[in-house]
Amino acid sequence: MIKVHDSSDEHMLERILAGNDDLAAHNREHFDELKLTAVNIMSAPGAGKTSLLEATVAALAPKHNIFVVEGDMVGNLDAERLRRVGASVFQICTGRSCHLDAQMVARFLHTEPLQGVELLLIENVGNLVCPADFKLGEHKRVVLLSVTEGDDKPIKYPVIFRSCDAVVFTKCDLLPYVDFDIERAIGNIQVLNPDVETFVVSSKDKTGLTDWNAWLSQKVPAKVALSET
Amino acid sequence: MAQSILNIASKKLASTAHTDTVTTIHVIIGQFRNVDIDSLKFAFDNIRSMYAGCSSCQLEAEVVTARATCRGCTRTYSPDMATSFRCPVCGNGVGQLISGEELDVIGITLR
Repeated sequence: MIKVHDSSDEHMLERILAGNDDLAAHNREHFDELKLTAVNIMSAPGAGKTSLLEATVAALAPKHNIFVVEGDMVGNLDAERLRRVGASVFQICTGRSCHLDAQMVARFLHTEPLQGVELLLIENVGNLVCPADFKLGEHKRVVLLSVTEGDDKPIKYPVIFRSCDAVVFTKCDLLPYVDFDIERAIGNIQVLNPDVETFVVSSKDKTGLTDWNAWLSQKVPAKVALSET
Repeated sequence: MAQSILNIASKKLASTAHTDTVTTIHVIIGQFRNVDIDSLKFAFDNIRSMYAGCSSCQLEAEVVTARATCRGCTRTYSPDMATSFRCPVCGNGVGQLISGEELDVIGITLR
Protein backbone atom coordinates (compact mmCIF):
# COMPACT_ATOMS: atom_id res chain seq x y z
CA MET A 1 0.00 0.00 0.00
CA ILE A 2 1.18 3.47 -0.82
CA LYS A 3 -0.55 6.45 0.64
CA VAL A 4 0.27 9.21 -1.78
CA HIS A 5 -1.21 12.08 0.12
CA ASP A 6 -2.37 12.72 3.58
CA SER A 7 -3.37 15.74 5.52
CA SER A 8 0.06 16.05 7.16
CA ASP A 9 1.64 16.70 3.77
CA GLU A 10 1.56 20.43 3.17
CA HIS A 11 1.66 19.92 -0.58
CA MET A 12 -1.21 17.52 -0.44
CA LEU A 13 -4.41 19.41 -1.04
CA GLU A 14 -5.51 19.04 -4.61
CA ARG A 15 -8.55 21.08 -5.53
CA ILE A 16 -11.20 18.84 -7.05
CA LEU A 17 -12.24 21.52 -9.52
CA ALA A 18 -8.71 22.74 -10.29
CA GLY A 19 -9.03 21.57 -13.90
CA ASN A 20 -12.19 23.61 -14.40
CA ASP A 21 -10.77 26.63 -12.55
CA ASP A 22 -7.63 26.62 -14.71
CA LEU A 23 -9.70 26.47 -17.90
CA ALA A 24 -11.93 29.26 -16.60
CA ALA A 25 -8.82 31.41 -16.10
CA HIS A 26 -7.83 30.58 -19.68
CA ASN A 27 -11.28 31.64 -20.90
CA ARG A 28 -10.96 34.89 -18.96
CA GLU A 29 -7.69 35.63 -20.76
CA HIS A 30 -9.51 35.21 -24.07
CA PHE A 31 -12.35 37.49 -22.93
CA ASP A 32 -9.87 40.14 -21.83
CA GLU A 33 -7.88 39.93 -25.07
CA LEU A 34 -11.14 40.38 -26.96
CA LYS A 35 -12.03 43.30 -24.65
CA LEU A 36 -15.49 41.90 -24.02
CA THR A 37 -17.45 41.55 -20.80
CA ALA A 38 -18.77 38.06 -20.07
CA VAL A 39 -21.79 37.67 -17.80
CA ASN A 40 -22.90 34.28 -16.45
CA ILE A 41 -26.68 34.26 -16.00
CA MET A 42 -27.99 31.58 -13.65
CA SER A 43 -31.33 30.64 -12.11
CA ALA A 44 -33.67 27.77 -11.41
CA PRO A 45 -35.46 26.38 -14.47
CA GLY A 46 -38.30 28.62 -15.59
CA ALA A 47 -37.22 31.75 -13.72
CA GLY A 48 -37.24 33.78 -16.93
CA LYS A 49 -33.63 33.87 -18.11
CA THR A 50 -34.51 33.70 -21.80
CA SER A 51 -37.33 36.25 -21.46
CA LEU A 52 -34.98 38.66 -19.70
CA LEU A 53 -32.35 38.14 -22.39
CA GLU A 54 -34.91 38.78 -25.13
CA ALA A 55 -35.76 42.12 -23.52
CA THR A 56 -32.10 42.90 -22.81
CA VAL A 57 -30.94 42.19 -26.35
CA ALA A 58 -33.78 44.30 -27.76
CA ALA A 59 -32.81 47.21 -25.52
CA LEU A 60 -29.03 47.05 -25.74
CA ALA A 61 -28.37 45.83 -29.29
CA PRO A 62 -28.43 49.40 -30.66
CA LYS A 63 -25.67 50.37 -28.20
CA HIS A 64 -23.51 47.27 -27.92
CA ASN A 65 -22.40 44.33 -30.00
CA ILE A 66 -23.95 41.43 -28.06
CA PHE A 67 -23.42 37.69 -28.38
CA VAL A 68 -25.40 35.08 -26.44
CA VAL A 69 -24.28 31.59 -25.39
CA GLU A 70 -27.30 29.45 -24.70
CA GLY A 71 -26.82 26.49 -22.35
CA ASP A 72 -29.45 23.79 -22.33
CA MET A 73 -29.39 20.08 -21.63
CA VAL A 74 -31.17 19.40 -24.93
CA GLY A 75 -32.77 21.32 -27.79
CA ASN A 76 -32.45 24.82 -29.13
CA LEU A 77 -35.84 26.36 -28.33
CA ASP A 78 -34.34 29.21 -26.29
CA ALA A 79 -31.66 29.90 -28.90
CA GLU A 80 -34.35 30.21 -31.56
CA ARG A 81 -36.29 32.66 -29.41
CA LEU A 82 -33.21 34.83 -29.05
CA ARG A 83 -32.41 34.66 -32.77
CA ARG A 84 -35.90 35.94 -33.45
CA VAL A 85 -35.05 39.16 -31.59
CA GLY A 86 -31.86 39.51 -33.62
CA ALA A 87 -29.28 38.03 -31.25
CA SER A 88 -26.21 36.14 -32.43
CA VAL A 89 -26.44 32.87 -30.52
CA PHE A 90 -24.23 29.84 -29.96
CA GLN A 91 -26.02 26.80 -28.56
CA ILE A 92 -24.30 24.48 -26.10
CA CYS A 93 -26.20 21.27 -25.33
CA THR A 94 -24.82 19.78 -22.14
CA GLY A 95 -26.48 16.37 -22.47
CA ARG A 96 -26.74 14.82 -19.03
CA SER A 97 -24.80 17.62 -17.35
CA CYS A 98 -26.89 20.05 -15.33
CA HIS A 99 -24.55 23.03 -15.78
CA LEU A 100 -22.12 24.64 -18.16
CA ASP A 101 -18.45 24.19 -17.39
CA ALA A 102 -15.29 25.97 -18.46
CA GLN A 103 -14.41 23.34 -21.06
CA MET A 104 -17.70 23.80 -22.89
CA VAL A 105 -17.13 27.55 -23.01
CA ALA A 106 -13.50 27.03 -24.10
CA ARG A 107 -14.68 24.95 -27.05
CA PHE A 108 -17.10 27.72 -28.03
CA LEU A 109 -14.33 30.32 -27.75
CA HIS A 110 -12.10 28.32 -30.08
CA THR A 111 -14.95 27.88 -32.58
CA GLU A 112 -16.72 31.20 -32.84
CA PRO A 113 -15.05 34.41 -34.06
CA LEU A 114 -15.87 37.04 -31.43
CA GLN A 115 -13.88 40.04 -32.65
CA GLY A 116 -15.92 43.17 -32.02
CA VAL A 117 -18.26 41.55 -29.49
CA GLU A 118 -18.59 43.77 -26.43
CA LEU A 119 -21.01 41.89 -24.24
CA LEU A 120 -21.18 38.10 -23.99
CA LEU A 121 -24.28 36.92 -22.16
CA ILE A 122 -24.04 33.28 -21.09
CA GLU A 123 -27.35 31.68 -20.18
CA ASN A 124 -26.48 28.75 -17.94
CA VAL A 125 -28.58 25.61 -17.58
CA GLY A 126 -31.48 26.11 -15.17
CA ASN A 127 -30.13 24.99 -11.79
CA LEU A 128 -29.28 26.79 -8.54
CA VAL A 129 -26.71 24.28 -7.28
CA CYS A 130 -23.97 23.13 -9.67
CA PRO A 131 -23.51 26.32 -11.75
CA ALA A 132 -22.31 28.05 -8.58
CA ASP A 133 -19.27 25.78 -8.36
CA PHE A 134 -18.27 25.75 -12.02
CA LYS A 135 -16.59 29.00 -13.05
CA LEU A 136 -16.67 29.77 -16.75
CA GLY A 137 -14.22 32.68 -16.80
CA GLU A 138 -17.01 35.23 -16.55
CA HIS A 139 -16.47 38.76 -15.26
CA LYS A 140 -19.85 38.99 -13.57
CA ARG A 141 -22.32 36.47 -12.15
CA VAL A 142 -26.03 37.20 -12.11
CA VAL A 143 -28.74 35.12 -10.45
CA LEU A 144 -32.42 35.45 -11.37
CA LEU A 145 -35.06 34.76 -8.74
CA SER A 146 -38.66 34.77 -9.92
CA VAL A 147 -41.31 35.88 -7.47
CA THR A 148 -43.17 32.61 -7.93
CA GLU A 149 -40.29 30.72 -6.30
CA GLY A 150 -40.42 32.05 -2.74
CA ASP A 151 -38.41 34.67 -0.90
CA ASP A 152 -36.65 32.01 1.19
CA LYS A 153 -34.76 30.64 -1.82
CA PRO A 154 -31.49 32.44 -0.96
CA ILE A 155 -31.40 30.58 2.35
CA LYS A 156 -31.94 27.25 0.62
CA TYR A 157 -29.24 27.91 -2.00
CA PRO A 158 -26.66 30.01 -0.16
CA VAL A 159 -23.68 29.20 -2.34
CA ILE A 160 -24.99 30.70 -5.55
CA PHE A 161 -26.43 33.78 -3.83
CA ARG A 162 -23.18 34.40 -1.95
CA SER A 163 -21.05 34.17 -5.09
CA CYS A 164 -23.06 36.46 -7.41
CA ASP A 165 -22.64 40.13 -8.26
CA ALA A 166 -26.30 40.85 -8.92
CA VAL A 167 -29.74 39.35 -8.35
CA VAL A 168 -32.64 40.09 -10.68
CA PHE A 169 -36.12 39.51 -9.29
CA THR A 170 -38.21 38.46 -12.28
CA LYS A 171 -41.93 38.08 -13.09
CA CYS A 172 -42.70 41.01 -10.81
CA ASP A 173 -45.97 41.62 -12.66
CA LEU A 174 -47.15 38.62 -10.58
CA LEU A 175 -46.33 40.20 -7.21
CA PRO A 176 -49.99 41.04 -6.44
CA TYR A 177 -50.86 37.36 -6.77
CA VAL A 178 -48.05 35.64 -4.86
CA ASP A 179 -46.81 35.69 -1.29
CA PHE A 180 -43.34 37.03 -2.07
CA ASP A 181 -41.77 39.82 -0.02
CA ILE A 182 -39.05 41.57 -2.03
CA GLU A 183 -37.54 43.25 1.04
CA ARG A 184 -37.38 39.95 2.90
CA ALA A 185 -35.75 38.29 -0.11
CA ILE A 186 -33.15 41.09 -0.35
CA GLY A 187 -32.49 40.74 3.38
CA ASN A 188 -31.96 37.01 2.99
CA ILE A 189 -29.45 37.62 0.20
CA GLN A 190 -27.61 40.40 2.01
CA VAL A 191 -27.00 38.17 5.03
CA LEU A 192 -24.78 36.16 2.70
CA ASN A 193 -23.69 38.84 0.26
CA PRO A 194 -23.95 42.45 1.48
CA ASP A 195 -22.56 44.07 -1.67
CA VAL A 196 -24.97 42.44 -4.12
CA GLU A 197 -26.84 44.63 -6.61
CA THR A 198 -30.57 43.93 -6.95
CA PHE A 199 -33.09 44.66 -9.69
CA VAL A 200 -36.86 44.19 -9.74
CA VAL A 201 -38.15 43.56 -13.25
CA SER A 202 -40.94 42.18 -15.38
CA SER A 203 -39.82 41.09 -18.83
CA LYS A 204 -43.48 40.71 -19.77
CA ASP A 205 -44.54 44.24 -18.80
CA LYS A 206 -41.10 45.71 -19.59
CA THR A 207 -40.90 47.31 -16.14
CA GLY A 208 -37.72 47.78 -14.13
CA LEU A 209 -35.49 46.96 -17.09
CA THR A 210 -33.86 50.38 -17.38
CA ASP A 211 -31.69 49.98 -14.28
CA TRP A 212 -30.75 46.42 -15.22
CA ASN A 213 -29.78 47.42 -18.73
CA ALA A 214 -27.81 50.40 -17.40
CA TRP A 215 -25.92 48.14 -14.98
CA LEU A 216 -25.02 45.74 -17.78
CA SER A 217 -24.06 48.59 -20.07
CA GLN A 218 -21.72 49.97 -17.41
CA LYS A 219 -19.84 46.68 -17.40
CA VAL A 220 -18.86 47.02 -21.06
CA PRO A 221 -15.19 48.06 -21.24
CA ALA A 222 -14.49 51.79 -21.21
CA LYS A 223 -12.85 51.62 -24.63
CA VAL A 224 -16.22 50.85 -26.14
CA ALA A 225 -17.95 53.63 -24.26
CA LEU A 226 -15.34 56.09 -25.57
CA SER A 227 -15.85 54.94 -29.13
CA GLU A 228 -19.56 55.71 -28.81
CA THR A 229 -18.94 59.38 -28.15
CA MET B 1 -17.32 16.38 -9.64
CA ALA B 2 -16.99 12.61 -9.47
CA GLN B 3 -15.17 12.72 -12.81
CA SER B 4 -12.75 15.33 -11.49
CA ILE B 5 -11.98 13.26 -8.39
CA LEU B 6 -11.34 10.14 -10.48
CA ASN B 7 -9.19 12.10 -12.93
CA ILE B 8 -6.97 13.27 -10.08
CA ALA B 9 -6.63 9.71 -8.76
CA SER B 10 -5.94 8.25 -12.22
CA LYS B 11 -3.18 10.76 -12.88
CA LYS B 12 -1.62 10.03 -9.51
CA LEU B 13 -1.76 6.29 -10.18
CA ALA B 14 -0.17 6.70 -13.61
CA SER B 15 2.67 8.75 -12.16
CA THR B 16 3.43 6.43 -9.23
CA ALA B 17 5.75 3.50 -9.85
CA HIS B 18 4.92 -0.08 -8.82
CA THR B 19 1.18 0.53 -8.36
CA ASP B 20 -1.79 -0.46 -10.46
CA THR B 21 -4.83 0.07 -8.24
CA VAL B 22 -6.45 2.96 -6.43
CA THR B 23 -8.02 1.62 -3.26
CA THR B 24 -9.31 4.77 -1.54
CA ILE B 25 -9.71 8.43 -2.33
CA HIS B 26 -10.19 10.81 0.60
CA VAL B 27 -11.92 14.10 -0.02
CA ILE B 28 -13.10 16.99 2.12
CA ILE B 29 -16.25 18.87 1.17
CA GLY B 30 -17.13 22.18 2.78
CA GLN B 31 -20.65 22.65 4.11
CA PHE B 32 -20.92 25.81 1.96
CA ARG B 33 -20.49 23.83 -1.25
CA ASN B 34 -23.99 22.39 -1.38
CA VAL B 35 -22.62 18.99 -2.31
CA ASP B 36 -24.80 16.06 -1.36
CA ILE B 37 -22.36 13.35 -0.31
CA ASP B 38 -24.74 10.47 -1.08
CA SER B 39 -25.35 11.80 -4.61
CA LEU B 40 -21.61 12.27 -5.12
CA LYS B 41 -20.92 8.71 -3.99
CA PHE B 42 -23.70 7.38 -6.20
CA ALA B 43 -22.20 9.12 -9.24
CA PHE B 44 -18.69 8.05 -8.21
CA ASP B 45 -19.68 4.38 -7.88
CA ASN B 46 -21.37 4.46 -11.28
CA ILE B 47 -18.43 5.84 -13.25
CA ARG B 48 -15.35 4.58 -11.39
CA SER B 49 -15.02 1.51 -13.64
CA MET B 50 -14.33 3.86 -16.56
CA TYR B 51 -11.03 4.92 -14.97
CA ALA B 52 -8.01 2.62 -15.12
CA GLY B 53 -7.20 1.07 -11.76
CA CYS B 54 -10.23 2.63 -10.05
CA SER B 55 -12.93 0.02 -10.63
CA SER B 56 -13.16 -0.95 -6.96
CA CYS B 57 -11.87 2.14 -5.22
CA GLN B 58 -13.78 3.70 -2.36
CA LEU B 59 -14.60 7.36 -1.88
CA GLU B 60 -14.19 8.58 1.69
CA ALA B 61 -15.80 11.99 2.06
CA GLU B 62 -15.64 14.23 5.11
CA VAL B 63 -17.85 17.28 5.47
CA VAL B 64 -16.16 20.39 6.87
CA THR B 65 -18.45 22.56 8.99
CA ALA B 66 -18.73 26.17 7.90
CA ARG B 67 -17.17 28.76 10.21
CA ALA B 68 -17.39 32.47 9.60
CA THR B 69 -16.72 35.79 11.23
CA CYS B 70 -19.82 37.86 11.88
CA ARG B 71 -19.97 41.12 9.91
CA GLY B 72 -21.38 42.92 12.94
CA CYS B 73 -19.70 41.72 16.13
CA THR B 74 -16.75 39.86 14.47
CA ARG B 75 -17.39 36.76 16.59
CA THR B 76 -16.70 33.42 14.95
CA TYR B 77 -19.81 31.29 14.44
CA SER B 78 -21.17 28.42 12.36
CA PRO B 79 -23.59 29.84 9.79
CA ASP B 80 -26.42 27.44 9.01
CA MET B 81 -29.98 27.32 7.79
CA ALA B 82 -31.41 27.13 11.31
CA THR B 83 -30.52 30.81 11.88
CA SER B 84 -30.80 31.81 8.21
CA PHE B 85 -26.99 32.11 8.34
CA ARG B 86 -27.20 35.00 10.81
CA CYS B 87 -24.90 35.39 13.80
CA PRO B 88 -26.70 33.85 16.80
CA VAL B 89 -25.48 36.67 19.06
CA CYS B 90 -26.12 39.88 17.15
CA GLY B 91 -28.13 38.74 14.10
CA ASN B 92 -25.74 40.15 11.51
CA GLY B 93 -24.67 38.30 8.39
CA VAL B 94 -21.74 36.25 7.16
CA GLY B 95 -18.45 38.08 6.82
CA GLN B 96 -15.29 36.17 6.00
CA LEU B 97 -15.76 32.42 5.66
CA ILE B 98 -13.00 30.70 7.61
CA SER B 99 -13.99 27.20 6.54
CA GLY B 100 -16.77 25.52 4.65
CA GLU B 101 -15.70 26.10 1.05
CA GLU B 102 -13.30 23.16 0.83
CA LEU B 103 -13.51 20.89 -2.18
CA ASP B 104 -10.26 18.98 -2.08
CA VAL B 105 -8.71 15.58 -2.50
CA ILE B 106 -6.64 15.10 0.65
CA GLY B 107 -5.45 11.55 0.21
CA ILE B 108 -5.16 8.73 -2.30
CA THR B 109 -4.22 5.21 -1.30
CA LEU B 110 -2.64 3.08 -4.03
CA ARG B 111 -1.68 -0.56 -4.18
